[in-house]
Amino acid sequence: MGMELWIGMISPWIGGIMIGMSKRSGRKGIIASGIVWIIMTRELVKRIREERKVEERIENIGYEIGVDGMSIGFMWLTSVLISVSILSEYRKEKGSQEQLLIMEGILLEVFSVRDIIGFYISYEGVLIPMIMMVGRGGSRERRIRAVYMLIIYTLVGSMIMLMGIIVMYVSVGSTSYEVLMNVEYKEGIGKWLWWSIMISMMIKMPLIPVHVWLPEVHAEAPTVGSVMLAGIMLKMGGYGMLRIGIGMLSEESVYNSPVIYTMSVISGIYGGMSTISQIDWKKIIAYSSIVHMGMVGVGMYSMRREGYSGSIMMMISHGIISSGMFMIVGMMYERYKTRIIKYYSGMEEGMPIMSRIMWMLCMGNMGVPLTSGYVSEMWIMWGIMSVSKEIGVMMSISMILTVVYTIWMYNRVYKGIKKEYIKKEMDISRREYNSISPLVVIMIIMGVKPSIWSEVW
Amino acid sequence: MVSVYIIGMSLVMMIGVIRKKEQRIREIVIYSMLIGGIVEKESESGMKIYRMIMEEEGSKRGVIGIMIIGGMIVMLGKRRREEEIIIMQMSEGYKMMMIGNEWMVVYMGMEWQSLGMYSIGIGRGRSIKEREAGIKYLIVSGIAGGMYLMGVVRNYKETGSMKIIETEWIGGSKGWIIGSVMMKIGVVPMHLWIREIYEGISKRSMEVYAVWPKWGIGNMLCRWEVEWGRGVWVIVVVGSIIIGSIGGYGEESIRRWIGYSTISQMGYMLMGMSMGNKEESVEYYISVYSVMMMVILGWWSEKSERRMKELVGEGKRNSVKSIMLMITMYSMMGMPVMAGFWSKYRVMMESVRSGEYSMGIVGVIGGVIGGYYYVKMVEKIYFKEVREIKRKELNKREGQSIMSIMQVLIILIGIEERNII
Amino acid sequence: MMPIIGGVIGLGYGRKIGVEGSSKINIRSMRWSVVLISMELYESVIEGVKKEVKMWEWMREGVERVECGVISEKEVISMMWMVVVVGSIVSEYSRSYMKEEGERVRFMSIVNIFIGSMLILVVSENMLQMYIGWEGIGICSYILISYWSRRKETGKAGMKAMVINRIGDMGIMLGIGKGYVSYGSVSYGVMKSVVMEEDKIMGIMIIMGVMTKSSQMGMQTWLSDAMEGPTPVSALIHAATLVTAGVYVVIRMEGIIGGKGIMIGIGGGSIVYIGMLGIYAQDIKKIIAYSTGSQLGYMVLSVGVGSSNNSISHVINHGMVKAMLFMSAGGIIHSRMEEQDIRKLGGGRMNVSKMGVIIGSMGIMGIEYSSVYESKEEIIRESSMSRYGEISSVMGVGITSYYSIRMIKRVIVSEGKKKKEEVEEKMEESIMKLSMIGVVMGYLSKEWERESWEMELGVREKVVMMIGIIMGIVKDKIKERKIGRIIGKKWYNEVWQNRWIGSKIELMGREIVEGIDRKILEECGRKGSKEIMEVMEKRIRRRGNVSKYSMGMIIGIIMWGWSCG
Repeated sequence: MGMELWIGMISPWIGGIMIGMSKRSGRKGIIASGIVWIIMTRELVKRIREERKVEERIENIGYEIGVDGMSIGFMWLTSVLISVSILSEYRKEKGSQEQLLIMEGILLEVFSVRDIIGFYISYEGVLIPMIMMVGRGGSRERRIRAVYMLIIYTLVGSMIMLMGIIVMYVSVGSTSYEVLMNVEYKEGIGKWLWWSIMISMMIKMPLIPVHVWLPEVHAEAPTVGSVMLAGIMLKMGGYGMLRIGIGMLSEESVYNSPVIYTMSVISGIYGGMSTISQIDWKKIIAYSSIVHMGMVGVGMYSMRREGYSGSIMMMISHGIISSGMFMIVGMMYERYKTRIIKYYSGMEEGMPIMSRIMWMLCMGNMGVPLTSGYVSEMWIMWGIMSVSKEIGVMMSISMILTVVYTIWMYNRVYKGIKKEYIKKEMDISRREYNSISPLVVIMIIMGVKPSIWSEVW
Repeated sequence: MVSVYIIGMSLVMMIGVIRKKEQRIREIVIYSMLIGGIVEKESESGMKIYRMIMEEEGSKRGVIGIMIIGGMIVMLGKRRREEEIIIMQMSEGYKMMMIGNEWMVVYMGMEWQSLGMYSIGIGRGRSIKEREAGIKYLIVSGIAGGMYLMGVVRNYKETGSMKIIETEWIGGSKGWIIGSVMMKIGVVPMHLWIREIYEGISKRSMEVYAVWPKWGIGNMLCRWEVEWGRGVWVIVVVGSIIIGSIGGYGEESIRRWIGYSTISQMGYMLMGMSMGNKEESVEYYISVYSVMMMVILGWWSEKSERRMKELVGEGKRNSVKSIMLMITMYSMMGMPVMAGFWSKYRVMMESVRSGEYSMGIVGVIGGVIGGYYYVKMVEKIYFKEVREIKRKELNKREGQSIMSIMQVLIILIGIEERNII
Repeated sequence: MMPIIGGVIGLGYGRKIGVEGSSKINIRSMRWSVVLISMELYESVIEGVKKEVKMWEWMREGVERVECGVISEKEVISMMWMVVVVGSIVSEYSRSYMKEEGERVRFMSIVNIFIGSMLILVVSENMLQMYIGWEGIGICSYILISYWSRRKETGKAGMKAMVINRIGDMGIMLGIGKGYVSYGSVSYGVMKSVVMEEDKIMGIMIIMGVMTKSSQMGMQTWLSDAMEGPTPVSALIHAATLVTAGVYVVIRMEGIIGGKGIMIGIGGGSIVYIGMLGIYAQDIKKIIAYSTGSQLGYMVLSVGVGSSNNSISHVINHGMVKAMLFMSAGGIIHSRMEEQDIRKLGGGRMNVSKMGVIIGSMGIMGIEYSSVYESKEEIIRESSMSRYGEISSVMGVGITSYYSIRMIKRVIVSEGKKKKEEVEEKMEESIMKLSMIGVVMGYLSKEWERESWEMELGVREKVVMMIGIIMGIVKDKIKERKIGRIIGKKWYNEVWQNRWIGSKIELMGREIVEGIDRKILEECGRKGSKEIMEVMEKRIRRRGNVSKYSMGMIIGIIMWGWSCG
């Protein structure tokens, strides 16, 4: 079984390089990403059936890759999203396919390495393709600024984290997760360590107040860039929090949990309110991401199993839902070249199918039952209620705000009368449909039968 | 033995010059340097020539490096004939620095190479800038030499010996010696000259200036048992990193940019000199740094732009080379996967190990700031819209091959590292 | 489960089957449900059997298993029965009402899904599943209300409904959370057996949900705006199902949640408050909507005083009657070409519909021998336990009469402009069916449930009713006096909610983005650092001055020397 995993991890690299060298991409990208997807799904299913938290190891070239329940979820998500993105880019020229594949390779690394230096390397490494995608694929002048923000914010976080990692290494003597998870730190060091690593995660997730890069970058990034960014990169922050924050520094995490609570709650409420006043469609979805990740923060640090599962679920669910929304925005953008909501209105008439799909995604966003969004919200709620009811109340305020802005957005764009800016409508095409429907289906499946998932981790 | 070989070669070259058989001579030079470098490893007899020789692995590595770098420098492009000879000579000087075991031997090497540097720096002497740069260098090296001697003398007075390894360094002298060395590298507070000089000299000279001295001195430093006065060290490291990073902030001219980058990188390197395994960190760092710089030089040697603005649109014009440069930029910034990250990592780890947390923090901050302007380079190359600026470019194969080799090295090292960890 | 399946099929294949076909499927599935449920009804009501069926496991988290389950108890079944009966009749009704609409397929299917969700809500044995149904009806109502997607107002109305409902959802979610946490389960059965005393906090949370869903006082603004949707939607949602969901939940959780006092207060208040809004409304559908709100107050009130049985029967009866009212009103509106303002609606022929209106109104008012009367009587009786409850319920009678009569008068009796009329058969059929059922039920329930204290009904109520009638006849031109104006503006409720809360939030949102996000954070974050950098850079780079250099070097040398002795 290790073999399978290894194939899965290598194929994106191979695919990426091959595409990089050839002029046109054609089907290679799809094949490569498809392979990964299939393998990941099999892993997932295997895990479900066995109902154990099995770790797979590959002792390879001297470093370990291991996959346990937590990682597999994210790896699967990665593979899904990349496949979907490549599908949606299929028709274009070489475009970003090789970047996507390489990114996939790095991302898979992030979630599977078993030592902390490897984690750091992949974590940073993801930035490289991201920079390329945003810098090249975007289309406005502001993107330079956005790229800088991305780089600098992330770098600041990473450098600080590097310090933390080094200190950890020096005091413990090993970088493997196994060892690190069982270590307890002395008083002062533990606190500093936690902060240094968490700051980086917070920037990545992002939580208020270090979130400023996210809306900018989303607004300027190409569609698949946003998909990957929102879908996976943010989750790396969450994953890091889980692994490192709770896995290795659990005492300090508990100690510091009020901090996270505060920031998460503020993210939820402040983020929600900010969303309402945005006029750029992508920024709306970006802020919505911030809100959801606030919920993740709350769930994770509730220190209860339900909350914990809920936060993972929410991360995966949000990855799917936000990515779907970004794809739809991307489709609109392709047609009409604007992202300002004011120009859109009354789309429901001319594009019924797309409106339906968007509506279903909106439902997921809002947390309507039978979608994955609901399940995750519910679990997080359970987790948090046992800790503090006040926070639960505040979280529900952010849920209300979510509904407000989601419906408002839907209303603005899809209902009403068509404005004169939109001359001709083209409903969703087959290719686009194929790239989006898996996401919707997954969302619903996860919502209807979450027990599949909860047993995995 | 090889040194004899080289002296012999230079004679041959001089003869060849007179006979105007340039092309082949150049090739001879190159090959001799490279091969010489490789061969050196095996030679035992070479040691007899200098009575006082350090026998250490490190010094051997140092010498190899010198030769290889020298060879590459020559490969980089056409230069005047005399320069090629001078370069060969300089390599002698460096070698003495590397393997000499007595203060004076090292001193001799130092002066020998600065002589070469000086003349190269002046170049053809046509433009004022070049001359000015060369003179500045002269002044600097003079002062450095003086300081050095001062330190040596005091040391001698105290210990009565001129040997490097076996002596204890006594308080007073350290500062002078080290100070002079620092000056040649160009860290704070002696950094000012670098900027100026770099700006003045021609591209060819830059190639010599940028890598060689650093490599030599870096290597040397590893083997000296240096104990720093703490305060000074902090100032040096922190100052270099900060000035190097911030100073390069809005820099437009490529040369000056290289200068600032150098300053900050040197600062990092010195950070690793805190204690313990210097070889691991400092030597590693300097090796990686050299590789990176060679790439940049290789890339730059054929460009004719002077300012960053003019690099715009490079990505489309020259995609292969631009990709390489981009990777190198990332490496210098300290982004993982590249060797540059590992060097920074090691250095920071050293400092943390010895408890210098503040150093680490400064390193972090510097990394971020530096990141900005490395990225700026990348940005200018790739991101902006292409404007119609067509300049003539010299496409030399040699430059490219150097670059490619270096590139591959960078990545390979980066990947290899993981196993070691 | 049938309706949902029908709905989904209808939606999915709608395009293929065509308009007629899908309606057929939908309606047919409804009919099946009616049959099936009637059978169940018979079993459980007559025989008094209680069944509990656990179906499949939905999720497992931690120690807890949440399963899908279905309960059939007396209350449950009767509720279900009402839902499907009304549902099926309304579906038929809509077939003709909506005949000219384009997207009928979608409409019918969503109606079915809606009914299905309601059923899920009613039938589930744990809170989580109930919540699925709860949200389901919320979403469907949004879709249905803003069905005519062209008009901006419909979208806004839908949004308002959704948002306010969401606030209620928040309450329910919190309640569920608390329930889970405190009792380890969300199943009714389990919780009932575990609970010692009534849990007030949870009660408050759930009551909040009820308040919004059933549009009690304070959150009732959505109800009137929801009238933007087509009439069948109103019939279904706002008469029978959606609004009663809240009450149903409270009844279900009786014994678990506390806060009865609150319920009495809110219920009673709603009766009066909302009823008065009904008096001053001008749009026929709005009047009926407010009437619904007022009746809901009765239901909540009765739960508050502990007689949930009465509440249920009132729910069921009222559901029928109201639906009929709505449909009749719909008939009238349809015939008048979508005119909804009652001031313009007089005259015309429209017999069946008018009869429907009259019968319905009579029922609501509490005239004898209609079913609603029965339940209302019970409630009033029971509410005499609490002073407040008593007063408000009695007043409610008067108010109800007032607006009902007013409506009747305006619509039917007085002369207005004559317009072209259309008569729709199917609609009439539906109306007739429902009214018959209503009357029959009233009669039957009299037999089943009523005991013999009819005599004590009280002159009091009758008097109040007469007053109301008179006032209704006489004073239908209001708005002259100040109180009229206040109420006319719906007690400034709209103003309060909209202007203060709504736009304040929006303003705050904007301010936040502009002020904090853009200025502060960016200043600190990006621009700021950039500026700092530039400043610092300028200070560091000085060029040209040789003297400065030499000074620097000298300093350096000195430093070196000094540092090492």
